[in-house]
Amino acid sequence: MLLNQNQLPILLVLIPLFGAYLAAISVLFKKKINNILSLILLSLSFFLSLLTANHVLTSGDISYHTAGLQPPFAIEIVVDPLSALMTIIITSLSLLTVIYSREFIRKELSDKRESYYYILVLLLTGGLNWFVIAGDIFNMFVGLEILSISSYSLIAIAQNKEAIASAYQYLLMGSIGSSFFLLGTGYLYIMTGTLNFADLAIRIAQLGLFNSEAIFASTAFIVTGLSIKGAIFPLHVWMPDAYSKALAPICALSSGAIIEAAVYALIRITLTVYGIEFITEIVPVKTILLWLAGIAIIIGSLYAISQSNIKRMLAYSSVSQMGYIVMGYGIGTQLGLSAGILHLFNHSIMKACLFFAVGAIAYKTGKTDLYEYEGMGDKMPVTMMFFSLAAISMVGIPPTNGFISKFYLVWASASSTRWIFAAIILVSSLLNAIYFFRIINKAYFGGGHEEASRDEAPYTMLVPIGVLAISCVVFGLAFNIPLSLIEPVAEKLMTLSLII
Amino acid sequence: MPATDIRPLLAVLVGFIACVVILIVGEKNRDIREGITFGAAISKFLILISLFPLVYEGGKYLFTTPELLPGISLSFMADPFSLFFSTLSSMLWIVTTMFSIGYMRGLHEHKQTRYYAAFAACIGATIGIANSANLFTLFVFYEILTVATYPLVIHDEDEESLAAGRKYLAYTLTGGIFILFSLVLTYDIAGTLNFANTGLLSASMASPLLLKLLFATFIIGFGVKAAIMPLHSWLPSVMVAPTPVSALLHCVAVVKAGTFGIIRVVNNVYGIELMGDLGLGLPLVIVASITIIISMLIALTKDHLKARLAYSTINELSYIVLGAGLLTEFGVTGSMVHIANHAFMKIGMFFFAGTVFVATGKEYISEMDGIGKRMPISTLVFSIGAIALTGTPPLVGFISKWYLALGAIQSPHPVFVGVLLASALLNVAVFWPIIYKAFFKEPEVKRRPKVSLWLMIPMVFASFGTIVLGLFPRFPYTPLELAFRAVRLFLGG
Repeated sequence: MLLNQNQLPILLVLIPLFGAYLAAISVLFKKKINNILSLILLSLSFFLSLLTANHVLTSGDISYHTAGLQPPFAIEIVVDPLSALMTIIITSLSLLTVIYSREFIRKELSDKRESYYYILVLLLTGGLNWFVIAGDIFNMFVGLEILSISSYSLIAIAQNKEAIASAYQYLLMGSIGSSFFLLGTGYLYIMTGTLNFADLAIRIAQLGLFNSEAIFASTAFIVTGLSIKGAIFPLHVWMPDAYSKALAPICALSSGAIIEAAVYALIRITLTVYGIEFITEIVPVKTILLWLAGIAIIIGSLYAISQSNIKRMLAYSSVSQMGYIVMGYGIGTQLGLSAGILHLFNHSIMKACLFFAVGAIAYKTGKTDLYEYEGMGDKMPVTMMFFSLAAISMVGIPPTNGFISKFYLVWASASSTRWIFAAIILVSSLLNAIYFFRIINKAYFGGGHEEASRDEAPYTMLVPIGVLAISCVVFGLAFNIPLSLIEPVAEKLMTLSLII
Repeated sequence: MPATDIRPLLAVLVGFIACVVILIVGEKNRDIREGITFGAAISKFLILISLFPLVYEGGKYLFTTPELLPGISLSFMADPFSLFFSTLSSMLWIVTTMFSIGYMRGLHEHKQTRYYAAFAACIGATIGIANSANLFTLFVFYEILTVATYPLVIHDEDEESLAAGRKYLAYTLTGGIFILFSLVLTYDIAGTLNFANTGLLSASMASPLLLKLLFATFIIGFGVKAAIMPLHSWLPSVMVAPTPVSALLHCVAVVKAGTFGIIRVVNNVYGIELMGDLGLGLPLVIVASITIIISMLIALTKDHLKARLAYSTINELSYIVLGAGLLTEFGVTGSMVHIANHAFMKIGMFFFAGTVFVATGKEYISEMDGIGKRMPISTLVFSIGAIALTGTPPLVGFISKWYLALGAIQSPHPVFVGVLLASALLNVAVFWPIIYKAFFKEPEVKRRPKVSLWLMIPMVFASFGTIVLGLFPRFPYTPLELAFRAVRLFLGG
């Protein structure tokens, strides 16, 4: 090996970030090179994230310190199996997004904006990777800002008035989220004098700060800030507007990676910095989030049923699905946490696939409304087949990954005797069935066969959709692969106990 | 030790492979397409038959795949009960395919490729349910069956069939989540989901109250497809589907997957002994008895032939549930053998309904005056089925009812023999008017419609089964013998 394996994770951040600059320069020399360039860089990142995961599984967590200092003074990067899984999700989705965007963006955006688009996607990927592998809370904030700013711009890039308006709304709410996060970080720093996650946890315990009001406040700010970013009910309101106006690949990336990363951070910070006992007994964050998740699951689904714009429907479905993840976390057992994170992984596959497919249909036919989907099963059979596969997975029909999520979440609720949440998950799968079968019905059995002539999306779009749709089935059977990255961390997070 | 063998899985895969191949071949080569359906049906049947000798001698085949979770894997087996159901379904698939060709081509139906592909997937899923070695695998195929049946239910794509499709999904998916919940809870308290001959649960694993509630959720779950009242109302609605679908799926495969699940739960999840200790048999028998009587009373009011047959199916399905709830050797035997017997009787009657529709376009009983004079053989098939349903010897209906009655007498509640007798009388009241009208009233049109052999042979086959299995119920390899062997295992012998 040319490089020390411990340096792998930093490359996950540096390649896309410097790649963004490289893209900005290279476009001066050759137009339209950015697609290929970002494709190469993101393939490399994806490959590295797989290597990292492999390294973490075989030889333990990676802790990398910059500037030759030791933590808590150096910037620390920590990669455990869970953050490795997150980087795999992020890099694979952005890679698929870039492949998908080749034809899609060429049609939707002008040449100049097309080159901006790839620069922003690279920045976003770098920011996301930074966000998930940061070992201290301030670096996490830096990653959060990079990813947020690039995602505001990516939503606004669609160039019409509504997109700009909804991106502005997203920007306002997102900035509030970021500043809350920063405020919480500030309180933590004032009280403890440190920013490193591990060190924070130790100092809070050592200094006996569990009853400090400043620490309470920091919890409130950080949880609220990340809830806005993660579109956790009732702070999800930016999402349906933003998604219905944004470009489909951006919706896929946002729904599959950005909001997921925010929820990941919420889980990571509350469980490592504050610890399970603090958030259960002293500040009932977990219980509050659990009930909010229960409400989110049902309300999100009901809103989704009432939408006729499919992207809006998928956005509300994401609100409900984020509820699944938070519910798993809120159940408060190791099994629940594994179930929640497993759903995080599964949801990013399913939802990205659905957004890609909806985007492909809009690309070919311009149709975005559920009632216009008649005969789509004949017109775009391959796309619709993949869409249906992902939709069936969302409903939780075996053998798909959505079924495994459902199984795990019901199991976690039942084994901790929280029957009501088991019931919520099961009822929600029926509600999902209502809005997804409605689309499938329209597309395949809704008439309109006569006018349909086959007009399939280009291969560069079909491949990402197909990869994700087939992954839905693959991970419905091989769910041990993500679980092997999730379970050790879930165990560690749930047994960390620093209240002495 | 069970023998490791891939054939139980292979029989399942044949259906799904056929589904894909049929979709590829498509409408342009329809003879090849139907040939593939036949090939798949026959090879599936032969694979299952090849498993018979060892299982019949008390052996068992098992094929396990790597564990997904501790104690959970996708695993397939062939024990007497699974072979009983899988062989029955695959054999009737062969004849139903024949009938489908006659029916679909006779009516120039649209979307035939989708029809045959979905049919193949349904049978694949049904064999999957039959051959599953644990509750998890059973559930996976149970849900696949739900989805695969949907395109068949809404085949006509008009308002009525789409509404029926919605109702079907609402009922069966709700049933599905009840089963999923029960299955997760079972896994949580027992740590395994593998079917055991005398039950995988034991009284020490959880409180009696929890076990009773769990049983209730299981029965609600499987009770949807088994059409136990008040969970039955999807079944009459889905009669809008083409008649071969009603014949094979809504009288054999789908609905009996529900009763199959109930028998598995009673015997292989709880076990007869635990069922008795918890006192769970009686409630099940009572629910089944109510369904048996009420469904027949409703059937009396129906003029649509397929609707009447649907309510009769609801009635007969509850016989199966009743037998399972008796918890006695003969009761469970009768319950099991009725799965096959009812299939032979009722499939012929559905074939009659389909043939009449193809030949004359009539669907209502009131229009069928003198149909026996115009279509004598078909009407004879229907009459034999109807007579068998009332339990008249020497037809198959008598065999099931005989064992069910014996089972009731063996049990602490012999009063339920009365339910069987009452139901037999109601069956006469339901079907006699049809036979009377068909043979003794004058038809408006005298012309004899031409009935294609594709339709005729399956009908005759069903009647043949009804008669032969009634005359020689205890020949080697008959359903009854298999049922006896299965029950012996369930009783711990």
